[in-house]
Amino acid sequence: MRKTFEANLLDPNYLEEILGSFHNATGLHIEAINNEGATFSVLGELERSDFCRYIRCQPEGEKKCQDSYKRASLEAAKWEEPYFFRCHAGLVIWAVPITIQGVSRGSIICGQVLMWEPDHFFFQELKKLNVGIKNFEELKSKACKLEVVSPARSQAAADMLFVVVNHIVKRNINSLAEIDATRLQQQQIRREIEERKRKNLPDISDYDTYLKKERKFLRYIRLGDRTRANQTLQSLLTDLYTKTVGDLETVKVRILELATLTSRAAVEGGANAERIMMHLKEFNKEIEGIERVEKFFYKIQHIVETFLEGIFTLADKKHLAIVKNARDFIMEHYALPLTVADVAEHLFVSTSHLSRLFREELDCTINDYLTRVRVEQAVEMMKKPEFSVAQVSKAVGFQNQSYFSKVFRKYIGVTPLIYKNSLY
Amino acid sequence: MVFLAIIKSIISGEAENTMALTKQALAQGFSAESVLEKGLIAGMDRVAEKFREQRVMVPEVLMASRAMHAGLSLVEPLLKDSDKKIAAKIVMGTVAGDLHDIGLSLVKMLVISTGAEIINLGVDVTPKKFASVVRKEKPHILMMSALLTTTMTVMKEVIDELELMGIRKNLVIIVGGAPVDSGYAKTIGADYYFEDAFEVRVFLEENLAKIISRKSR
Repeated sequence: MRKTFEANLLDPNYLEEILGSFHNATGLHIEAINNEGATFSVLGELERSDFCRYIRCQPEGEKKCQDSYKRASLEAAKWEEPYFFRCHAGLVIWAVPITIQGVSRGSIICGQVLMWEPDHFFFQELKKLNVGIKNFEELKSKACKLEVVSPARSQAAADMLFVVVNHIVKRNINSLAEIDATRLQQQQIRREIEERKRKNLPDISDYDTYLKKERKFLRYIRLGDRTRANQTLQSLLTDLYTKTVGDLETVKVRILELATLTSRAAVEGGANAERIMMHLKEFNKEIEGIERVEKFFYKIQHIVETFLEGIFTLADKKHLAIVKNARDFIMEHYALPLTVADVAEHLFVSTSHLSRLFREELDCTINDYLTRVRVEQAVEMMKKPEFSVAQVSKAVGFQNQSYFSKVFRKYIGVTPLIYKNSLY
Repeated sequence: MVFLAIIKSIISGEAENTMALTKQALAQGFSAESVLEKGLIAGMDRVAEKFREQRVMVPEVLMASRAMHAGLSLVEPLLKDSDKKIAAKIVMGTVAGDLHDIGLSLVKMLVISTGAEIINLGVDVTPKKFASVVRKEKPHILMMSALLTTTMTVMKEVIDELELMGIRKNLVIIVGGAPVDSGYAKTIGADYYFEDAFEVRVFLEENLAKIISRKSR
């Protein structure tokens, strides 16, 4: 049963035919190998090059070639794309992975060429790589007969082969897209770490810092600040990765928490509660059974994006710029005695128009939004013991401290003083 | 400027030319180390920068690394300082799944001048292999590197394995690699992290004697 199933996916005759054509078109040598590095099919012209045959007939030669291929095949399977390498004897070869239903079945080996004219240094390399060889001069003369293929041409050949192989094994586009997403995730983590190293930022290895950053992230979600939210999220994920050393169970728990917290923050930010909870439920289902950290990261970024979209129903794109600019303006000037008229004037629109847009896009009034920004900032400032409640109230733009207390209590649930005292 | 020429030559993957230029730089009186750092490594860094987003070896990188090795073949013999001998043993390798060896060979090349005995396990070394070599050779220092975010977690497995076998004590563990930083080193229980091969050497020159005497006590 299994066999016929596979045969349907990978028809050996079809494979040979197509790859044979590839060989005839490009003149490049190709062979198909299994995961052990053993050749099961040499396509097109049946002979290997003089050089390869000579190397293979050396003592242990077959085994060394097989080992070289095996390793390359593993790499190609791991990265799921063509892998360029130099074999143990010094030739340039690339392996194109054959993956069926996520399982590696070996590779197509292509090349056995040089990428440079045989020069003095090449013979030096050749000598070093092939120490046991009896007649080096003979090997040298065979090497001179090898084809020289430019990097651009070999890359193109590898790309072509990859497409052909994927076509033959009926690889679906979705799984390729998913591989790309995971890869992107790895790159982002890496970039973030490198960035930190370059800026000499302090190492983050305790949960205290992590949780602080999490709170900051949730604040950006509540305010619908997409750019900062995404930045903070990436940084959070990198922390999580290094902190947990990629431990799957811990990562999963943290990701679930984060999704839940984000969902609540999004609702507070004005998103539709019903819809958000539905998304969250789907998310929880989706991440069951995920076995790679990168995939968790990819999923959480995705759901955060969905939540953020819930905050802005992107109904009317041209109006969105005005709302966004208004928000930015408020974010920058909340400390001043700001009025709706000030904001509208800054954007050259009427107050009534701006108010209507705010109601439509964010489902709140401009004053509501301004108050929210002020309260969020106040919460942040309260963490610094050197500021009194009165100072905080003033610094975030409230003229009147008792009004500040009233508003704060409405949003946070307790008065500023109680909140502040609870922190120390 | 000869260093610029070397960098350019590595980027375009010209082995023969890199060799000639390296020879020229050495003849002009530049030290082997400065040629290595400002020419060969600088060139490879530029290539790495260009192909940062690529996951695997692409043909150009293959060409460039060959050109760098061509230059290295001239520089390496000059770096070996054979009259200095010190009774230190260092085991090094990249972790399982990691096939990048350029950094590793650079570290080895520079560290060799400290006079320590170096056992290079090469690339793609499994935690089991690391542990068994450490048990057999009883080195003073273990150096490992991971070049990819996907393989950096294996370094922790190595340390765990050493702990499990009870041979972590009295062993200085140094880690390195692009995705690694000192915070990560601390998290996984390594002793030191260094940014590049030169930093490692400076550290060893200052501390190797101390490390040896601490162990023999």
